[in-house]
Amino acid sequence: MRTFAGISTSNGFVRGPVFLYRGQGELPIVEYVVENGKEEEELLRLRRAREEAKKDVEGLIKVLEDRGNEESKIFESHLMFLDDPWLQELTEKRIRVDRLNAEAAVKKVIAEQRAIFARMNDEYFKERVRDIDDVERRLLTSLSGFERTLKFELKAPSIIVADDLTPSETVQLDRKFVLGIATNGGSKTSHVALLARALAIPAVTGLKDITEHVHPGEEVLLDGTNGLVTIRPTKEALEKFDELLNRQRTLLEEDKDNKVAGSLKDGGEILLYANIHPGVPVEGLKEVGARGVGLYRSEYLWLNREGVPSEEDQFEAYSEAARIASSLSEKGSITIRALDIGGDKLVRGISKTENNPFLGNRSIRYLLTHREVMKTQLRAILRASAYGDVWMMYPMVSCVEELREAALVMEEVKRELTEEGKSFNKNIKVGAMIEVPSAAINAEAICRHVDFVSIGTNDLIQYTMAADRSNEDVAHLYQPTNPAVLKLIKMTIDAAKKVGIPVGVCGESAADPIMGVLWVAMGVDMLSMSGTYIPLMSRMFKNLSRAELDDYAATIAALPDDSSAEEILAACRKWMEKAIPKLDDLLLL
Amino acid sequence: MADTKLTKEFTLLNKYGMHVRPAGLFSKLASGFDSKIEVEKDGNIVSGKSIMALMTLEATCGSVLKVTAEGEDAEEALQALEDLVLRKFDIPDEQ
Repeated sequence: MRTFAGISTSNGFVRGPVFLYRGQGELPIVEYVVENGKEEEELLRLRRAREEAKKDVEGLIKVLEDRGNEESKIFESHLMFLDDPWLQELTEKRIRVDRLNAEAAVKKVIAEQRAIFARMNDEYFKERVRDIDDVERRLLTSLSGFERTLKFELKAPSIIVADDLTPSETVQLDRKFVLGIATNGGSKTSHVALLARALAIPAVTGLKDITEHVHPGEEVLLDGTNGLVTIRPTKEALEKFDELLNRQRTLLEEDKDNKVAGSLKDGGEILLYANIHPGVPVEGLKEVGARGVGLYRSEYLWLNREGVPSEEDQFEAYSEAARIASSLSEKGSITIRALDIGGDKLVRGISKTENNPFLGNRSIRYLLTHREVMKTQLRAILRASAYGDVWMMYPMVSCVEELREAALVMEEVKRELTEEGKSFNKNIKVGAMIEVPSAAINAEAICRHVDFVSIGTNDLIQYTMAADRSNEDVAHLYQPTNPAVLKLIKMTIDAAKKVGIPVGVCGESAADPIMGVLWVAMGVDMLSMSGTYIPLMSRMFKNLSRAELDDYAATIAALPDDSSAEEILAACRKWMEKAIPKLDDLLLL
Repeated sequence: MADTKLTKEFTLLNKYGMHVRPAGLFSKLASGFDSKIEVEKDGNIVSGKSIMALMTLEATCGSVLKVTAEGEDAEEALQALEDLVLRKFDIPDEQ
């Protein structure tokens, strides 16, 4: 038996036969000196090969785009490599001056670049050498007339063991046959790692030389959660691993049994919704049990394009998202967040340079000072409300005046649409995000002017503590469990209850097993998070009852108000470990 | 009209810095201008129109790049490139 320790890259446990992928091997490239006077011919050959390679990449981009695959973007950059004027100059010089054949010239030039990457310190940067390998290979295969298509011949479900995979290799994996992935190189950020996590395939990277020790077809044990791969296991190791597999199976089966995600063990239920943004394909939301869409980040329609999206562009995107949301459940509503820009989200042609962007003309403030943009968006959202249960919310609300003013604009837009005979939901629900301390402090007044509120914990914490968590010198002050933060959240929840409107949380903390459960214990009706976290949160709630949640809230509320954030977090953990004895198991995946 | 030569410093704000996609987008945008565009980091100066050269700078998040544009459309070029950097290259996962 031998166990290889690498980097835990994608959680999960799997046992299966090895598909040893030795890479495509070195191409048998011949190097020679070009006859005097034939340099131009050689340059022409290089140019033709480049065009051919570009056509291949363009074809691949088209295929990926049709599949709605975001990875097409990476290959746009490969086209830039093929067109790179500096690389061309270096390569052509090798041909003209050294009279190398085109293949040898390409190899030499790329080898020089590869050496630069080998000397880099940043892990993420070092990984990008795979893209360069990819581009080199395309040029060389075109030049030498080798077979240009590449296929993994996966005939049965297998664990892929490889040195590393280039982006081109990764996108061609036949996903239904990939049980797990183990690579010599790579890290959490390599291309194959990103893919493994997106597809929830267990993966371990950084295993150094595992390809030298495994045989094709032999069975190995892959533990993605702890970053381990075991070959030729002893009987005991095998039994232990099977035990883990059982625990995993039970978990997954229980997840499947969770027909209603977010059920409590006493039958109550917590509404779990998904966060989505335009331009990113939505897959598997129904499978994970998302009730609907709790946060649709409309600003991505502005971020991913040249120019401003028209009313029709927006209407199309919103109504399509509304249709997806209503297919998720009977309560399949979609909450569209109005344009949330400013701060660190800047939009071409819109954003101005501000001295203090986080305290600047953000979000609802921007909309109210740019009526045309606001009206266009409201028109599109209202029109989409004819296609599903559409709710809309304003981000960054800091006072009631803003809501009053926004309501007037809404009335005006509704009137226009009625005159034009366009259909829309006249009673569309309008909400406010609570992410500015002033809105939390005066939450009751805010609540009286809206149909629902959603707490944006990321900004609320940062504004309350006046600490930017991306600044490492003050990141320790970004404290979700600071007593002041908890007070503001409590005030917001109590205000919503008193006025009688729903209150949700859509910040990152909604997907945190400790914090997300605490928000619900404190009275939040719904959590919205990235779909991948819904099974985890579902598992947590299935092991808790309303009475236990009340006890959780009471335990934390009883802590002295001079407790540190760390002390409160420790108390949360302690409570959770006591309430759920098999907590470790739940966090396995 | 005499060519203008302008220099501006940009700080990279996106999560992973000037890696494949950002360098591709930067060089593509730069290539659309007639001006000569150079990018300097830690004393290394490379062409802003070459994705390969840009990547060799190993410019991670927080790195400061000194960008120089020389030509009739220098001002426009610098403005457009700065916008791209400030918008974190419009990459959703790196905002």
